[in-house]
Amino acid sequence: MTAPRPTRRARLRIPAEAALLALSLTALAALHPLFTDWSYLPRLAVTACVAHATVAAARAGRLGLPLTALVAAVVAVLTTTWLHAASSTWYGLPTTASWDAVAGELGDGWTTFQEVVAPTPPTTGFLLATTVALWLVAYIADWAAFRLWAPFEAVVPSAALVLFAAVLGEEGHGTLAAVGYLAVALAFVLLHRAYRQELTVRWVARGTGRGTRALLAAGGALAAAALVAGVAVAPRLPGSGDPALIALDGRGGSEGPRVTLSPLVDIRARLLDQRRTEVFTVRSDEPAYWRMTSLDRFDGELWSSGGTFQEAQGELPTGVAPDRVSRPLRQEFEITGLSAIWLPAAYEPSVVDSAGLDVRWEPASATLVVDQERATSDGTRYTVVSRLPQLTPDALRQAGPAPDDLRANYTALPDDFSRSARATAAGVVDGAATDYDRALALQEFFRDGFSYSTDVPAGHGENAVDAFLARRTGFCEQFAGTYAAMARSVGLPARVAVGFTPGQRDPADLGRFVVRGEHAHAWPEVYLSGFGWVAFEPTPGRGAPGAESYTGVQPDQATSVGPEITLHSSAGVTTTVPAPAASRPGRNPDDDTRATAAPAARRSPWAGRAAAASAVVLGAALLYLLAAAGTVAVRRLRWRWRRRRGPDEAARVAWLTANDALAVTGVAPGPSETPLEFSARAAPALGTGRDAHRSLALAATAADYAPGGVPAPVARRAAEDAKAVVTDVRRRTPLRRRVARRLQWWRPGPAHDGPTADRART
Amino acid sequence: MLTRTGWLTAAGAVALLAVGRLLALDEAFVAGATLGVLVLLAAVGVGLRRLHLDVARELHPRRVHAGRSSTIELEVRNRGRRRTPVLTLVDQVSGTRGARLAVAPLEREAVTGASYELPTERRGLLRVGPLEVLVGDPFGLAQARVRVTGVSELTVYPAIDDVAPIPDSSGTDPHAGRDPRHRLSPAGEEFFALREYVVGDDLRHVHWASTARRDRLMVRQDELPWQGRATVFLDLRAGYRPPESIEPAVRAAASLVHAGRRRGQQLRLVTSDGTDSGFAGSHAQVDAIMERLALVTAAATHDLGRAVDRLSRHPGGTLVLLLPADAAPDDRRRLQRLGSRYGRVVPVLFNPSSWDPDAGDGAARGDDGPRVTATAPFPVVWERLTRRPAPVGAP
Repeated sequence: MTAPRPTRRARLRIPAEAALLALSLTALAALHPLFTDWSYLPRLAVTACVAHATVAAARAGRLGLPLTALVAAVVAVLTTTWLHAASSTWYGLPTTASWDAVAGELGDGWTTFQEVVAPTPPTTGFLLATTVALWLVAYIADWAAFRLWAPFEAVVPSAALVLFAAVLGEEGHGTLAAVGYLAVALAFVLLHRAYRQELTVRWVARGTGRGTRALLAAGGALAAAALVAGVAVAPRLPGSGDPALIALDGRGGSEGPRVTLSPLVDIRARLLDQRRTEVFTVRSDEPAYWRMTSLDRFDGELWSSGGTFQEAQGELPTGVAPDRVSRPLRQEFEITGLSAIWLPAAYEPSVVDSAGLDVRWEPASATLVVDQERATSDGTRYTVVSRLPQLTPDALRQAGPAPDDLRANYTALPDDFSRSARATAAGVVDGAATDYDRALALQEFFRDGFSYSTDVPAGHGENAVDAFLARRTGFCEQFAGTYAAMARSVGLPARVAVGFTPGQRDPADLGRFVVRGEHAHAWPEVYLSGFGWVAFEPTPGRGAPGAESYTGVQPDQATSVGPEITLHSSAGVTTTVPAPAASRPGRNPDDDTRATAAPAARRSPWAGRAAAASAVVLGAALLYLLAAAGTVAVRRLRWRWRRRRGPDEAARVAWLTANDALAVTGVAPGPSETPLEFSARAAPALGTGRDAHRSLALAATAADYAPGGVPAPVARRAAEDAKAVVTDVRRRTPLRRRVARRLQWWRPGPAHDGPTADRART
Repeated sequence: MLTRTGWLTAAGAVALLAVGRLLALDEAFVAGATLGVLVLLAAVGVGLRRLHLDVARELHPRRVHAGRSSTIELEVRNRGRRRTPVLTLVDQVSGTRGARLAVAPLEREAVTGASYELPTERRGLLRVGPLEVLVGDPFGLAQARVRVTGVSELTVYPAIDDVAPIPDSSGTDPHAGRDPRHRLSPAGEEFFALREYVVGDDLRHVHWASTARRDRLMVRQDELPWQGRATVFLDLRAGYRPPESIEPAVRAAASLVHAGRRRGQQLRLVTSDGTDSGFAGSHAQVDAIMERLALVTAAATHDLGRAVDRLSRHPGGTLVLLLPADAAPDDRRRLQRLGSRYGRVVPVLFNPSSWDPDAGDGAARGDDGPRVTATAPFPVVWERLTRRPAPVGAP
């Protein structure tokens, strides 16, 4: 496709560009199903406007694609730091601290992205990732729309964004967004086409205005009809509404291993964002920790688990069947908003009665889940009888060593597990005689010196272990994860159990407990031979009912209702979602702790990545300059070599040299132009070099066509003429323009219509 | 029927439906269905559209010298009962991308017109048309073409320079050499002969008495007694490298013919391939010569014999030889020998490639005659050649 020449005033240019921006904004709005609220929109909308304005301005300034990318990158970096890491700038300029902040948030965003299900709160990490996507969309769309003149291709990037949101977002939220997006996309294509017609097509009898209006009206009617018909037809198409053939995010019903998110990563969201959301109610004679599952694999970053679930009804086969003293507890569960596959129960379930509900059971982790036919356990009712262990310290001290295979499985740690954590753990358990004492010592280590706060970064990975140990502040996820890992490091078989604290007793019905998001909890379990898995409680402010006898911890849990002090007053604003700006970059005390207390653990990887990023940017700039210099050098070398091949080549090279210099003024020979024609066209751009250029044109023509070629004196004079032209051009153009032209080394020069082309005029 | 964009959009719709089915995405279903319906509506709309248009196209003038303008005039009238959609008229013009005009919607019986100039930089034959009307949908998904007019031709004559006519010669003309300036008017007529009518003759010259007697149209040929005759010989043989360098010679020939006609000379063009126009005086005959000059091209080889034969058969007046500078000396001598049959022979040499300013000043007469070069174009050389020497003994 050839770019139309903007010969006339284009009235539709701004509307067409605005429509492209509107397309990006609509795509942005279509991302809503991914987030819990609209707070993500303002800053990203500003980003989209800036991105489109930047690339459009670069195009209007006739910058080439690479230069446009460079300009866009600079503006993107500046605006992103202003919008997302303003506190780290130095008089508005990004510093290494900005690099650290942005890279850190992006890294966190990526980690979170792998772990959570939409909708999620719009964290800075997600906003930054979307910012990057928006800049790419703006750059590619503008390039396709107004340089390639391919409107449908220009729609593709933002459509990809919408499709991404549709795939990841909650089902059924996207149709309206899709219709809105389609409407804007069709409007854009129409406006773009009208704009292009305005530029390229000559209208008979000044019909521009009427013709464009007719085109827009007819196109609008056609688009509206297609949209209405599309919305009406889509649900009636074969296959519409059927389950997916390829299941992403567990929507479909395909066979194969079932993968679900680690319940551990939900805890923070439940504690903060869904703390008032009722998760389930349970009728039970006494409170207990309602346990969902346990996680036994630690890869240095994440705690996870896996197992083979078997159908279960009635009596449950238990993996470990210790002859310990226990008493039964009957619980009736009604799940309302758990949004997961788990069926909570007090440890350890022995009988399940689910009244027609298909339930599966995995003995090793003592986990009950719903069958694959159900995506979540929400809306189910079931009854479980659990056997609560009766433990005493004396009995536990008698526990023998764990079996070897079990010990091997549950003390596995990644090779690169933090040395300081190992050393700390070894120091803590030093002097404890039995496994039980060691477990207790570890529990006391955390309960004594640490404090509870949800206002810390999520995660329970390896860096998080060091950071947590240095910070000594965190919430159950970190306490449980770190406890289990450290227990493993001193040879105690340990795993992380995930579930809920007992919840709030229903004042109207004292046998009923209402469990909310804020009751989400995680705690470690240590294997003590003869007693099975024994729960410990390292998290301050939490305590399991019935475990006081051997953990020495009073029953305790979070509650935001009632006389007790709320645990998360910082988040206790009217909305349950803390504004991202306030919650993350603004948590200064925590930032300070992280920066001062754990410089080696927390800062160094980010600093390294920032340095790497800077190096990449600098390297790219250097490569670019080298390429610019290299092309010039290679061209000069090739010319020198050609010049030696005789007077003909010398004359041609002289002609090329002169035209290369002339290109700085924006005049370049067209593909079908003869040297003399070009020389005539180039004359106005030259002063004293005009005659020299004309005689060069003659010499070049002769070199190409004269029967005997050019004689040597002519070639020598051509070289002098070329010098004269170069000098003249140099005198007539400012250095700035010459440098700019040299930097755009890939540019062949402005296209020139051939002498006979496009001469038809109205 | 569907354009490339249309097919791509249809493919996109199918792809979206497939994605929708694979991932169970309602959004993709809606988008796919909308795009599919859009393509369908566009195709049906374009397919069902019936146009009743009168399109008239006029080209004038049909013959033009290079560099002068020639214009196409279009008139479009909507004969249908409904308003037309936005139409695109596409007129092919040989050697260019053609003209592309959009027509805003026309009400019933409404007329609109447009005109555009044709490129006349180069001599030759320019084909215009066929004119096609494109009907499409606003999104450019479907398109129908209707051919509405045929092909017109524009003859672009060589460009002409304002040069002095070929000087009269002494020779077989009885009155040759007399200075025509003392005559009061060049319109004085003297009867010369009766001959048969040929196309292009002025009807006022028909001699009705003889026509009645002979039962054929006879015309009276009025020959001005001082009327000069001149022959232009144009060498088209190889020697023009590249072939385009024949242009100055053709242009020179056209300029001489044009100047001769203004002066009322009887002119004749002989080319090296043996074509002989015969002596021409009328507009039609001169136009025929111009038409010939519009289309001549350099040819690889011609035997000069036939041309020399033609030249020697009907001699008279001045003979101007337009030759490539590197014509073989033998050929040049053969042509020069014709001098005995003509009043005067003026050779003009055209440097085949006018690149080298050192090749010589055209005005500098060597042994072989004046040369046309880059710095000395034909009008300059001719001006020097025809500059009348001051009359001897003039006051």
